[in-house]
Amino acid sequence: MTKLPLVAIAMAAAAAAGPIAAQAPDSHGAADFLKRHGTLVRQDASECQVCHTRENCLECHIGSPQVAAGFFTAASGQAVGMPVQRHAPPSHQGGFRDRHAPEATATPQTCAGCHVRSDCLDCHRPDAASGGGGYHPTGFLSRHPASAYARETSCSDCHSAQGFCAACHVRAGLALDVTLGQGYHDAKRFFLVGHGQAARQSLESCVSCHAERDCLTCHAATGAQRFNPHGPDFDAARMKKRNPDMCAVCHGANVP
Amino acid sequence: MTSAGRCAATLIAGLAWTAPLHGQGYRLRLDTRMQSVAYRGWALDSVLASTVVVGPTGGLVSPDGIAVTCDGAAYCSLFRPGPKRSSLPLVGTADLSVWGFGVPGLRLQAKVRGLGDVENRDIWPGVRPTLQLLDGYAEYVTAPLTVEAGRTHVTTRFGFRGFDGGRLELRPFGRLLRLSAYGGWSLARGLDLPVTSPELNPLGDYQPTDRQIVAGGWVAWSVPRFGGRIGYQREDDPSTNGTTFERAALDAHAAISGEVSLAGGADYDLTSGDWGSADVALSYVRQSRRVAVGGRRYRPYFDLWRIWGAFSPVAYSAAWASGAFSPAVGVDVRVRGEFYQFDDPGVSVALVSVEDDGWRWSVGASMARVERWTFNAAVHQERGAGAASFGYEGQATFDPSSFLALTAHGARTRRPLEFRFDDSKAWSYGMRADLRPRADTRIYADVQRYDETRERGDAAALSWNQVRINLGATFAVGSGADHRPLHPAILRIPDARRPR
Repeated sequence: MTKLPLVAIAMAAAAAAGPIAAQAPDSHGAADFLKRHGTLVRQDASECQVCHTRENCLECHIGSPQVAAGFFTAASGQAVGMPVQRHAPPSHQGGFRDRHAPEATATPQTCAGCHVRSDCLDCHRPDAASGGGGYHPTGFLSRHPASAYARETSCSDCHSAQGFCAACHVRAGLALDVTLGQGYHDAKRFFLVGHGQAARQSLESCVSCHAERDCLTCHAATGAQRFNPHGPDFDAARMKKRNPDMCAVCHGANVP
Repeated sequence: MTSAGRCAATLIAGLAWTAPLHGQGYRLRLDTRMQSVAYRGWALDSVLASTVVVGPTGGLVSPDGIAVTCDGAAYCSLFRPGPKRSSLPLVGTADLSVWGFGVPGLRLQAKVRGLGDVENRDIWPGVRPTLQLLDGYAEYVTAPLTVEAGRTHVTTRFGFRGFDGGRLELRPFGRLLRLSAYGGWSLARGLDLPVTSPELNPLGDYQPTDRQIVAGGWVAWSVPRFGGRIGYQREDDPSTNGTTFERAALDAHAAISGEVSLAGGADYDLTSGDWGSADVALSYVRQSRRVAVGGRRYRPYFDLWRIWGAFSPVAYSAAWASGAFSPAVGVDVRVRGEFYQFDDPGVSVALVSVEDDGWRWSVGASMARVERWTFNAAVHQERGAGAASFGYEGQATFDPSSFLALTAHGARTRRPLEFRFDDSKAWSYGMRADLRPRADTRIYADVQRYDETRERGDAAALSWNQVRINLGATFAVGSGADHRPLHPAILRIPDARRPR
């Protein structure tokens, strides 16, 4: 009973003094601290636990909670621990999102330190209500042809050529269920007879509007025109061995 | 019931069955978004050849002044500006993770998306089917082992591929060596639907009758300063017994020093005997400075249940450089440039000249030197095959409190096409409010006006505008120590909110 007034006095004094300004130790200011802190924790976590709880670690390490298993949790009536400042590592600066694939593929465990795998789906499986401000900047729809013709990134990693590109182009009147030669590509007067180079360079763009039947009108071996679509390095025998049915689409029963 | 529905029902039943177990934990994120959008396309039309006249630029035009194409038939064709079409797609996503079933290391994961159009119009792509299972699997993880069964994904050099099946990963020496194998019924590329789905055939093209069987695996290693992975994947069509995909790939990452790293990889197409895409990047990172140079080669690939792989698409090779640095406290600058050149396509027609190289660059800056204000601006330009673009954008964000951010933004874009007279100019400007009333709740609203002008030398030129509205809310709930606030990584990957 006699201790209660002392506790009350202490609490009142603490309240009067205001919040304590926490000062991070000097080690936290090192340039490579973010990169080395895991090693330091594995060597001796007791010093870290003076200030940090498991919840603090999970602020970032939600994808690998086991790294915080040795820390105390912030139980009821205890301090919540010194919060950590979340920020992306320096490697993520300057267009990292466009070029993260090689590192993410080679060393996915590094990414898993902070990222949960299902979160990748937020970008890699964009939803129909995602407006500007996501992966693509506002207004990207207007200028997407320039990025799509010579793939600025691999569009197909997130967008289905049929379910997304062609589906929208059909609704916009760009993909037609009629014979070719209607004059859409009007900036090149003889585009129909000279489209070969454009097609080989940006075939993914072509097939976002054109169906196989469009091309087979002239390029099928069983048709009247029989224009050969194969390039100079085309290995017919190799493809035939893998999937002869594909060859039969144009060559019929007489696959050479 | 669809396979996605069956998987979801099984998962929910599993969750209900395991609910009473002691020590169960869960994490649930609910994400709801809606946008109001509109667009204008083109509409094919025809007029009697006898009615066309010579237009002011010397070409043939319809009586109302739109350029026509005549091939000697009784009718000439033309493309009129299409109707204004608007849509209100609404999407809700639930991401649920549950663990603590009395078996340490066992976890159930599901990500389900419900979609629809409030106006019930078939205008905006990607709103069908109305229920989609993005992932839904059971996972068992111990130190040397990971086993997954259900609808899952693998991330490889071949892309982000989903399938219904299983995955096994062994780690006999910890992080030093990882061996993985996976297989199952494949989902389409870029979408978590089977290739047999009608949503994947808007052009009425050939479509497989059965789903492909995917199988693959990789060997990965990670020693201090050096990690890498060698992978293999193939897909077979059970209805034709043909192989539709077969590739091998190598990825590697080397930390040359604490500040310099080298990353890259390549893949080889075993079905065509061609090298596929490849890239290499040398990066220097020191505190707030990052400089990277690299090269990449991009060759599209097409599954062999379609004919496009036989049309010999060519690759392009690119060299690029990028940098990010802070010239002053609170100021970040980002620059990037790239040049690319297509391989010789082996075909050319003198009557049609086509661009075979191009370049693109962008410069952006962020400033956070004024209390509660952040400013972003960026300029970008690209010119090359098919199309070009030039634009700039900017935004100013005011944070009056820790739970509210107000942003004014604007952008200007100019985009000419190479194969069609359609030089588009667009202005967009608007306001956005981000509200975070709690650490686990985020609500946003964005309203912007969009003005577009399409320049042509005939009466098909047009100007039109619209107001686009984006609304969204995200909630995260959970149990125990894993109850977390919204992690920045789940809001967007780090620099995604900045203009480029």
